[in-house]
Amino acid sequence: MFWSLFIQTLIFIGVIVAIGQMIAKIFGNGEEDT
Amino acid sequence: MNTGLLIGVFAYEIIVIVGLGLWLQMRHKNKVASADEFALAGRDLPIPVVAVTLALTVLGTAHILGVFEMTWHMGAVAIWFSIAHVILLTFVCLGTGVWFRRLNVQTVPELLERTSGQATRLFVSCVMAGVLFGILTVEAQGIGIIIQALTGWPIHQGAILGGILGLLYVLLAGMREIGWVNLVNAVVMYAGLILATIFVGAHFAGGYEAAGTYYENNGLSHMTSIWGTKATLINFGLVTVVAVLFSQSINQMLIQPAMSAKNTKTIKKALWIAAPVNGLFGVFAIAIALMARSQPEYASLEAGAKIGSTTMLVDVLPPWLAAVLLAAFLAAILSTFAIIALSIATIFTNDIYKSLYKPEASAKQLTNMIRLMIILVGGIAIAIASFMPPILAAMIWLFAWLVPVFFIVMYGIFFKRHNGLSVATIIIAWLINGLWTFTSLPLALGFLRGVPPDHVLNADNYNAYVTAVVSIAVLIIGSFIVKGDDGLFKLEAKARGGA
Repeated sequence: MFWSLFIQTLIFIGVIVAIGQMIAKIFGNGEEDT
Repeated sequence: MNTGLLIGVFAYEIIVIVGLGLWLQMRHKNKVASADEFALAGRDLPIPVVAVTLALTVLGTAHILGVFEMTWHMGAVAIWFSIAHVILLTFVCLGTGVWFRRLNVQTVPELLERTSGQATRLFVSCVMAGVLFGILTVEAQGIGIIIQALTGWPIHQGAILGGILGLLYVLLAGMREIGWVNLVNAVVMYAGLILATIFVGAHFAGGYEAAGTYYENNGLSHMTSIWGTKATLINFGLVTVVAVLFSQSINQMLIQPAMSAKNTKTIKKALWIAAPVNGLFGVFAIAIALMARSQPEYASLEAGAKIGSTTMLVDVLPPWLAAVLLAAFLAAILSTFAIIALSIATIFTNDIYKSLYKPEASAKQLTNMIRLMIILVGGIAIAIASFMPPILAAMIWLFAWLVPVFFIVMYGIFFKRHNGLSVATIIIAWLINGLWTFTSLPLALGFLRGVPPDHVLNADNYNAYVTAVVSIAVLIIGSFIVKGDDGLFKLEAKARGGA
């Protein structure tokens, strides 16, 4: 039970971060630096 | 827990907090005094410090006691509380955090003055500080409960001792101290959590697999699934995502670490560390709670949801490990307590004291005012910590008040700026939220009160939706009525084009 929860959550985190990166790239957000 | 171990835990916290605080204070003594130094660490924090601080800022009492409690009622679907925070961190590290850092402001209300005028700035300062203060009292309560569970001390004594540690966490070197202490504490936190999870699994025959089988054999297989049942997924999972995302992504406590980053790239890269550090915490808390609920001696406890998991931990863990776990939980809660106290103090000093009364105040005067406010709000929160309502419900309710601020910030940055429309959006959203909470309006619309938290018609779950829908509606209707000036980023683009 523990490992199943752990791995599912880890995959979820990876997917969310990857989708976020993709969306940020599409909108070209914050290309310039301060 | 024996006194020696207990003294060990507090000695560890004091050495790390005070030691690092004094070291940082000495190291940066010769830096030119600037208003950003104390509140924003001179805007030069590196990736690991920003990452861990973002992760730990939104990981506090609710992640520990709230998730224990929710898991007891609904099962592993409680992981959506963690998933909501991963979505939040992604949005902050790639969106709001980057935008606020780029615009070089010190507080969220300061940006609001640029998009929506001074009245909105003052207005939002007061409510944001109020909401943050509400969360601060919940954190102070959490410190007291954790210390009580693991040591037997009364809640108010634990809250006082923990509160003092929380104040020391920030008083010596401000944001820089919070960041570096967080980095050390994150390691201790995960070490304690992993060890405790292993010990609990080894203590009961069959470990976590047997607990999983118990739920399956009793027709409760949804308890071990992160998708739960349809009702819990919609009424807990989705509600949490909406409430957390729309209110916290413009909340000062989370924006302040992002503003302290060296540059915008630092914030974007920090996400790869912040997301797993925050998100995986829930897995351990849920596994521990599910194990406790599957054991008859804890399942049958009166108020088991509130005390079952911690009672099991105290029974099962050897004293030394209970001490490490206490240090781990304290690390999580104290970091949140410290940054909230700093955020309230920064908002008060920057947006009220400096903006209204002392525009010519020196950096030293401002830093002293921030320190004074930290002590004041921290002290009051500790004092009233013993009279607080259920933890997670209080959090979700508090978050709903910030939802309209999210929408006017987005509107002002990307679309249009209009002072009157911003003020109207906030007032109408808060008014309706007040009516939703304190009158029978939801009952008239077919919602219910006093039903279990996962009931589909439980009115208390819908505050964040209500404020979101009302804010969007007022802004859309308002757009047709008023003209307004260009949004901040449009203005920036025009200025670049004209230059």
